Amino acid sequence: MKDPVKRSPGTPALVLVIEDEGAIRRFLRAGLEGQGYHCVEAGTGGEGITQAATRSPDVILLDLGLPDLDGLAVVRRIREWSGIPIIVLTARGQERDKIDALDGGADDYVTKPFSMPELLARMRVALRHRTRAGSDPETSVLEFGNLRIDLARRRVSVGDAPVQLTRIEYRLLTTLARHAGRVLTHEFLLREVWGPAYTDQHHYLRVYMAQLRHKLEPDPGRPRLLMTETGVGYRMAESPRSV
Amino acid sequence: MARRERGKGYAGAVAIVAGATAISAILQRHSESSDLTMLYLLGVVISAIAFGRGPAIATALLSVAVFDFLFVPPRFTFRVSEARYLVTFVVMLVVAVITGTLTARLREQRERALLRERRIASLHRLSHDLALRSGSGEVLEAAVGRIGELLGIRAAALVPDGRGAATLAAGDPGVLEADPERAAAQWALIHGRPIGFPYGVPPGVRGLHIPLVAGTKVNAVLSLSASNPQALLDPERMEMIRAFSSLTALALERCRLADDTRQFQTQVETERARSALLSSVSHDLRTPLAAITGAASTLRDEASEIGEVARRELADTIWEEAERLNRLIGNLLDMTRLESGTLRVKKEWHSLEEVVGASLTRLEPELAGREVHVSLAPDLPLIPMDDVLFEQVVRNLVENAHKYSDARRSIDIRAAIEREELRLEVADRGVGLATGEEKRVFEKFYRGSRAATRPGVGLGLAICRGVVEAHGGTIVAANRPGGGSLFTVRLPLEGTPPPVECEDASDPPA
Repeated sequence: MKDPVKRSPGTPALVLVIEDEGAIRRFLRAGLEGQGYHCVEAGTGGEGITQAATRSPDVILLDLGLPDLDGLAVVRRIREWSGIPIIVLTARGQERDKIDALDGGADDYVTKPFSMPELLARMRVALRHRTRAGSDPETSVLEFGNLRIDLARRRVSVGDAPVQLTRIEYRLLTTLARHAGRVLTHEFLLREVWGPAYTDQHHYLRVYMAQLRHKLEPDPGRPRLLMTETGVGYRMAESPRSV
Repeated sequence: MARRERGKGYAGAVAIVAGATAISAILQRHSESSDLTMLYLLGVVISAIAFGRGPAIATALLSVAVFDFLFVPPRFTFRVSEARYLVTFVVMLVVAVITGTLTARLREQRERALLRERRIASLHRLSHDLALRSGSGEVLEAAVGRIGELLGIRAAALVPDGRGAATLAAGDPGVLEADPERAAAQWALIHGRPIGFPYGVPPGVRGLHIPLVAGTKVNAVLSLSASNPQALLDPERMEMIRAFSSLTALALERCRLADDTRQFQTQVETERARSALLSSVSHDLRTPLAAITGAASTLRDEASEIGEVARRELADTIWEEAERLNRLIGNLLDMTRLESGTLRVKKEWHSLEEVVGASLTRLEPELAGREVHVSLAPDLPLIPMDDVLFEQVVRNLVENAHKYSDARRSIDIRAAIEREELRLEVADRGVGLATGEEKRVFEKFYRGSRAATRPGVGLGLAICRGVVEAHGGTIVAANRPGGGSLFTVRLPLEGTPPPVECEDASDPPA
């Protein structure tokens, strides 16, 4: 927690904050620098895009309500040439904007007002995925508490007990697990698991998520692992939330 | 019409005379001629009763002539040989005139009584009709309809618009087709006096325009138009029209007063709600703000020597109070969106288990480990709902239960399908509801009589009701048997969820 991901040994990770509100920028800078990150700030979308290109930050925090450019447009512009992790800062009740930003290439979101630990957790996940992207994708075993997914042998177990999953359940679980800690939109999951023709069949997800929870969660009514991001999608907790 | 009636009377007179003559012809062998005169007299009386004075006299004259011609010697001439027959003729005539006049008067009286009765009956019907109407538009509609129908004339009602110009509110627009009629109606509206054909006619006006006055205020104008303007002059009709218009004016005034009262009440309620909003919102905004300001100023005061524990406490205060502010503002925004109708319900097929689970996850920091017992029927289908909004309903209900009950007792959530509806219950073992509060707890800014000691503005349950109703469902509160309160939400199921393509369950992951 006190050890942010380094760009190279000895260099702290660089965060680009694109946010027009001075007060938010100020506390972000204080909080991030307190955790050992370096900060670059931009007050407008245009300036943010320039900074993203010239300073090559490790992660971008992007406010969706910018005065000059639609936040979504900024995500798309940056994604044209870069895979830098982007975390969008949104207001409550803007589920559609969150989904659009995520489907447009943003990695995650936090809803204002958010806490610093919440933001830092999201940033760590985003940075880890970036570093992992280059390395061997066949990390053969994924573990979440007592849930164990053996990707090479396609085996799933909870504790010592093996769990029988259908093909689709398995695909859904591994998709979530590979992106653990990140929110995945309904559309994304449907496309990945069922195929592009199914992106508006949201009820498929509801049915299969319920099945997975009943097979994997000790109390499916209060999930610790397969979390719902209401109105947006699902997120697999990196480590099961404590009861 | 009257002429044909009269013609019928005289024809009847001729028929009666013919009848009396036929009977006399049969009886003349056996009777005296004086007996035959009796028969003719009877004819005169019948004629008077049946047809009135004129036909009675005609019957008498005709009877005399026929009797003289046929039965008085010398027969088949109009000459009279004996003087006593002259007396008979005179008596017959006098009897005819007297009985005719008397019966005719009786008839007139009867007719007038009938007319009066009809008028009273129609007035009664109108007033009954008007009493049933609640809006001035409805009153005018009913009045115009009745008057037109009863008097066989065209009628319309006009009311002043915002700038005082007479505009059609009900009835036949044809009545006001001509410019002079519109001008006359406008005049009646302004001056509060009737104008039109019977009241000294301004040139070109054929109709009658009567203001419906209450006190000094003209509420409307009744415009009448008959194809024959003379018909309006008939005193009977005029009286009827006057009675009708004053009845309508009264009914109109009653509506106006009721409207005024209603409007006043709404105003008072709006005012009360607004000041309740202001006072509660400003209090609820200020309290956390004061805590935040105080804590932050202590933290930034370099002179104060606070320890690590106190610093942590101050930071916690700022965090918690800011959360409270955030929730309050969220609730206010939701309420505003609900009330302004900008809140759109996006229904999809959702798993209630998931929605309840998400609500409880969101509430975890607040519930702080408190036991929440969730018992959902195992066969719950997917339910059509807006997950974001419904999660909030569950959250508000659980939050409410948590706030008003002992943290050591569990909160119970139950759900099942009952008669094509989802029934969701959230129950606690807390203070419950005071009598009569079951409905009021859902009013915005209403704080239960037992809630005063807890922080809150009284929006959570109002939002629940708004959202549930926007889903086409209902929400009720009740005291739970054995203590505590019980909130029950019912949502319609609206058909069956779309199918999900099945996989072979034994299919191993490939």
